[in-house]
Amino acid sequence: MAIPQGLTEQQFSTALNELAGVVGRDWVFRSREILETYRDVYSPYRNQADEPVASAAVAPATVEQVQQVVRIANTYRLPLWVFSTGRNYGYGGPAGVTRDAVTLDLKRMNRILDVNEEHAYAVVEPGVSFFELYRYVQERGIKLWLDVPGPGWGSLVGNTLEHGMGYTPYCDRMAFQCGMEVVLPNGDLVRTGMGALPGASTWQMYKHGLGPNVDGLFYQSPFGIVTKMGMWLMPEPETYLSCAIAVSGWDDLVPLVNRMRPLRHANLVSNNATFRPRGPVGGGPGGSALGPNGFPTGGWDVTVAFYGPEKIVDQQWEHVRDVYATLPGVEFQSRKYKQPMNRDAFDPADRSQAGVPGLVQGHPVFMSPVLPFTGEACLECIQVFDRIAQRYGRRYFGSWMHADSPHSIITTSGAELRAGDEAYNRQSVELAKAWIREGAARGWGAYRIHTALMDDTRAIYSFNDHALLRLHHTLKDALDPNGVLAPGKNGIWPRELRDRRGRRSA
Amino acid sequence: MRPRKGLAVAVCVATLGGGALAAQTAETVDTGRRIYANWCVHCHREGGSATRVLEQRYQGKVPAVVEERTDLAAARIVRLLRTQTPGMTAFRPTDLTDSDVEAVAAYLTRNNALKR
Repeated sequence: MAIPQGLTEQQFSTALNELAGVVGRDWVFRSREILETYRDVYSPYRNQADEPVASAAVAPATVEQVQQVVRIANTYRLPLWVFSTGRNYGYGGPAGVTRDAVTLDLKRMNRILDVNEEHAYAVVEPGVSFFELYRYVQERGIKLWLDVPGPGWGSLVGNTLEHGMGYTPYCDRMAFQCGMEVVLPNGDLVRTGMGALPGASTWQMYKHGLGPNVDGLFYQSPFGIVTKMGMWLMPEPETYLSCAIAVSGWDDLVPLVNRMRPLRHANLVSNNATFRPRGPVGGGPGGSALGPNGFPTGGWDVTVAFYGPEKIVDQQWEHVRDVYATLPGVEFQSRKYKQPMNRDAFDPADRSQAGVPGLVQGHPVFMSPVLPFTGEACLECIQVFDRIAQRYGRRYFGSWMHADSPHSIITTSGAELRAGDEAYNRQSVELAKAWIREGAARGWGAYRIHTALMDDTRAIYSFNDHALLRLHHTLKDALDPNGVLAPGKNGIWPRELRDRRGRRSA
Repeated sequence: MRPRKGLAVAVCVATLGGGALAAQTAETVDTGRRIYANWCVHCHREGGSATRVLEQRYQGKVPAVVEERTDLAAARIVRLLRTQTPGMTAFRPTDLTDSDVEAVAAYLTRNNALKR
């Protein structure tokens, strides 16, 4: 069993005993059987010598326990890899970057602290999943909708911190987060925004507080452990209209995207317009019939939705149909839901835009670049990624593309994995690295990345000789001088590990 | 709360498919039903992603909807819930305690007696 670098077995054992004194002996795990559950079942390095596996796991139940765990970690220089519910599959799941970290599992911190219907917000701890908050709201008849990503068992806090997106008008979820409580790497406790004012009545109502807004420091970050988060929720609309626009030609993606852009800019389409290839194309085998240009012939659709009084959503949809009506062969579909709404009975295709959590399948090595909001960029990305994939004997025909922001498109690209096929899975990592490098040469960078690719992705964010990384490391050294928190997270390393940054090149 | 290692009150003891013995009470089965609804049913409902996979695997020999099975062994369910597989990820003790896992097993074996 791995132990953290620089510690003897005896020192590690002593540290774990101290952790047990804080959280209880039953919540410190070191048995092979339990640590098995902390591995990433979808790791491209599964069962290989360099698979990042935890040396132990510790599961605090309170903020005070988190503070004490962090202080003990500083005493012994224990590296801590933190997760909220550990379901970040496709990006590393529960596992960290290095092989020796102690996993800090926050799932037991699962309290829903407040759901305020009048002011439309919730305050939760990191262990609360989308399923759990959804159930809480439904059981109490609270007329608020969540914004949910694909994996409903993920953490609202964790997914938001990783820049996760959903499908409602609150899809750019970071924009709707309001107020945090954070344990810093030295064990200190901070509340951001108005939360710095003891007894503040507006912690979840006004984001900024006084002075520099620091919430962004804790996104995709090894600078702190978020123990509470406020999130604005969407009032249940009077009418929900779920719509799809379909085109049949492969190149029709260009006008499909381009005509959506001004609609998103003007907020006439307010939710995450999601562009999808029609038919089983994806990155795996068995794609649909190929056209003369080598691409599938199934065409594309885009899903959008409208929310509000019926006469308004009807007119919004009519306007959008007018915008697309001149496209040859365009098809429109819509389904309308009115009060009283039973969202669990909605058509499955309409649930995500109504904030109903589900579970998506498929966990490749994700490498999802951010593109300009143009159809030309989307098609170019698919063509470039496919050419690269062909060098590895594969094809790539595009996946879902999200306009969660009115100004950009995120393509959820992924290199497929095969259970137990070491050579294929290592090749998948190499393919994703090639996408990173060659995408960067065209100005595209990933919005979020798998732990296996964090150093490679960090390397492309290199303006002015990696000035942003230097700033991140300056912050890291100031906030976490012992380097205990999430070493290697998004390419940010503790000082003493920096010279051999990246476990695979160490 | 510490995961319980055993169940305190056994109203009946059922012999389960794998030969393991587990105490079943109406309360335990009901707890298992609730946990199953919270954690499992998303994939294992009628038409769910796991059900579709199991339909292919079983080809009608046994029900693909796991709740309809009457031949599952409690010990096997407990082991599956703690084992990582590409088809179903493991549940950690912070997700489901030992007593939660046992309750799910009790729920999924509640109808085994019907088969006998």
